[in-house]
Amino acid sequence: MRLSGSNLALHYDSVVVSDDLSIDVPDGRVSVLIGPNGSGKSTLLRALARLLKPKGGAVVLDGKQIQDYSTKEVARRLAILPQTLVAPEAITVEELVAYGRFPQRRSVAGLRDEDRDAIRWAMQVTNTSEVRDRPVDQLSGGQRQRAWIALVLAQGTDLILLDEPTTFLDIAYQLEVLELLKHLNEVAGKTVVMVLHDINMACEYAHRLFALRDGKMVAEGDPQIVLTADLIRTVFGIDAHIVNHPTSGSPMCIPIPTAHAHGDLEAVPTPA
Amino acid sequence: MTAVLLTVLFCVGFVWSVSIGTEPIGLGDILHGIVLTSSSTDSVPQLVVHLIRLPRALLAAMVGGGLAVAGVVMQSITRNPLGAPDILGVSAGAAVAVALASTIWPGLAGYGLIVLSFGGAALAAALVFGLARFGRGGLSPVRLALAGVTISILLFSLMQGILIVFSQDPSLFFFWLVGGVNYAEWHEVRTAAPWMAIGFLLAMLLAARLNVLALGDDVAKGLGQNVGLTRFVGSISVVLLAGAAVAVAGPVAFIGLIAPHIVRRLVGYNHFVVIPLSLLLGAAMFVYADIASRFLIEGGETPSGIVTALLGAPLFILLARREKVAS
Amino acid sequence: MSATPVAVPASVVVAKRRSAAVVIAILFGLALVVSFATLGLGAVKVPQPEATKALFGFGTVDEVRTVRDFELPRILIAWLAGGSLAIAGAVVQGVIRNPLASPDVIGVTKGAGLAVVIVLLAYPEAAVSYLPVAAFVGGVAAMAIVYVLAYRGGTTPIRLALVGIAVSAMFESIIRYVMIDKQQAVGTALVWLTGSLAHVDMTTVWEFLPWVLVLVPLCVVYALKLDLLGLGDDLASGLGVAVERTRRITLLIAVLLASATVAVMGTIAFVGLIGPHIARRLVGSRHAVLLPASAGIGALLVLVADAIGRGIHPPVEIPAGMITALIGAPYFVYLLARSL
Repeated sequence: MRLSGSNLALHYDSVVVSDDLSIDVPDGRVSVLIGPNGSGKSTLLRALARLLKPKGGAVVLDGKQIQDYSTKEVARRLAILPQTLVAPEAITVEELVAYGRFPQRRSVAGLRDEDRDAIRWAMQVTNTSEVRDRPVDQLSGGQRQRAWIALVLAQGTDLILLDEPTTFLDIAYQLEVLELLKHLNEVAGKTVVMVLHDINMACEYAHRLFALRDGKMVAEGDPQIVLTADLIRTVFGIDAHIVNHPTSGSPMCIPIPTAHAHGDLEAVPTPA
Repeated sequence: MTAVLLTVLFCVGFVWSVSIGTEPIGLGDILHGIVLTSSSTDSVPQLVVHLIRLPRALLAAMVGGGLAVAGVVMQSITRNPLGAPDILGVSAGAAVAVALASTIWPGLAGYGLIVLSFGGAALAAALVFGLARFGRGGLSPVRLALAGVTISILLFSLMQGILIVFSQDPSLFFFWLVGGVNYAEWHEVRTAAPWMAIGFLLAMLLAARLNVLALGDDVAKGLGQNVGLTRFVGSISVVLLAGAAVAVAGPVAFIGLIAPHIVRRLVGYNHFVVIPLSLLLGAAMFVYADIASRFLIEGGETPSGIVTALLGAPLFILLARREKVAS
Repeated sequence: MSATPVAVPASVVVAKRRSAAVVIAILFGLALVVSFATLGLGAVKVPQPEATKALFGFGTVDEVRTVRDFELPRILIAWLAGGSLAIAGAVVQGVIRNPLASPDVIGVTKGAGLAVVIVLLAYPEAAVSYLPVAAFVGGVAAMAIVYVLAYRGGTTPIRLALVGIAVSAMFESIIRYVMIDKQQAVGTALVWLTGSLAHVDMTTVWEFLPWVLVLVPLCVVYALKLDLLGLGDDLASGLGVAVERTRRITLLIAVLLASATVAVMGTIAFVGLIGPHIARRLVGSRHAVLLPASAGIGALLVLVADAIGRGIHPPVEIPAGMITALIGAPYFVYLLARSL
């Protein structure tokens, strides 16, 4: 197991997000973190990616504390795609993907053959080769996200972390991206860890589900086993039916509208 | 209540200001001098109060108050906590216009100068907005601040150049650098007063809309407000207030930035309260600054604006350091 | 209220990339042309073919002296300092991630100015040779102050920008106070502050050259890291850039460069702001091409400004800094018109 976090105390902007969080990331599998806003899922991912220094506990990567590596060394083992992505003006897809080779390059050297191969591979896998010369901000939502994924792919790491990679995408593009990640895991053996806000997508694509609430790990494991109505109630505070996806068999959560935080219109008269 | 405190603060400062001078004047004479309606008294001390000190204190109050209200409106319509006439270039525009005008046409009367001041202020504001919208990304507070500073630098260096070339009087130069009310006369008070009154009135009329605007453009539009009109009228108010202030007192710095922040910290965000209290606080601040400027140099006067400049700067730094400003 | 993104057709982008080298070559070529064209301008006018000949030693003693000792250094400094200032501006914009940032607005220029004013006014008898040192120290000290004040467990581009503005404002206030308190020598200080190449000679060139030779290549080394910083702190860090350290180092380099140019030619407004702007429109945002293009435009701006200042009404010389300010105004109006 290459990546793990033990007894993590995480603070963010002087807010205590968690005080004792542990996670073991299974190699070669797709892991998904779910939970409501403020549960600490993004914070945990950032700590695993060394973007956030834990106030307590440790993140261990390949047997060593992640803080003991240099930033470049971490970048050669682990890639992260953050949630907010801003491309500089008029930069093309190929130029963007080329940035992914930075950890492997020396600053002033040009691109070597292995760099070009990696870039080409990344674009082929993400199906962005035809748009290599188009400016990134001109692509469709799904294409753009795939271009960013090509960037982290070009890094050549086996560990890929993604923070809400599908949040603002149309559903077609969400599926595009998730299928791509699944393919990368199955064929190239990449370990994928991502935060998703859609429970059902999470269950469909995760080998291992991690459910957080209020900075605590409420449950972890195979979605088939772990996703229960109780879990949904504990983590999200709603009632839900759990059914199986008609084609894939993965568990799906169907919320049950319940009573209410609102007042009763029949009891309170409407003003004239 | 805060309003009472501020009023007391202001009155004390006002009377104090009027009581300072080369000749000591008793309190009774001071009060008589203040309420004197014409120069028809035989009492010399009362005349001194009436003709020399009173206009100075009054102008200080007006300029300070006007700049503070301009600051409130600017901060609200740009949703930028660093909004102020001096920071967003408006003061610089007004100052350049007036400096230019008074050096090149020395005979220009007060009213002509003020109108030019408005023109300069409006043009500078437009330039700042134009520059801030350059490139991608929205109109964020940081961009506005950067644009404002850039345009201010531009305008001030142009002004310096013109003053060097055309003007013989170094004290005039300093006046247009920092501003002050040191040589105020009734003439200036009378020139500025109506415009500032209109500006203040406009601001108060906008108070309700500004409250709603603070919730965000989309929410405001959803509630039926014409956001563009609000901003436009607000800009007019700012131009009138800041333009008039700069025309009579030069580019006084930091009052427009800091007074609104202090008031908001004391009483919250309701513009109906914030605007008048900022008027009071700004007036008090500049009156005290003017008092301080008389003690800064032995036996001499420094422009009142220097005090606000020196004291306001560290406060500005504190604000910049602390502000959670959206990108 | 946000500007609509300008849609750039793919063909234009591709053409832009391939021709970046061409654009840069054209810029430098243009600067060369302007250099030769303005070689003879100034208080002592030397008309053209004579001026170029004088450069190589042919012609009357006066002509050779004028061209070699007066015109040549100015042109060389215009190239070196103008180019450096624009490069410094591009780096600052890359670190602050904002095209409106420049050394002028984040404290360097005002710090240098304050140091010069203090020296000039507090010690009017001080030798003129101390001024450049003062300017340099002032600029670097200013940036150090800004960095320290903006540091709260790390810096963010926004905080750097805002604190820079605030510190600049504070220095400006102090400058004004010092000038008012000690009113002598205001004129000299102002002219110096406005920036001009009038006092430049070959010694200046030799003194400035080492800075350029060391700092500019360093900027090129950091070009890729600056690109990555532009992707956001998170992604840059994820790609292996030590974000805070890179910010610190590149800012330091930019500040050293900018301060050195202030020491040499005073504060010439807007070169650090407009140079990179125009360069970005021509060659894109990749620093590997943005930096040289900015240098070319910076050199051009200063060359032209100096030439206009010298040639418009000899023997009166308008400081180049004023001319660039005058150029800045219509540029901003143009931006305003475009944004409407």
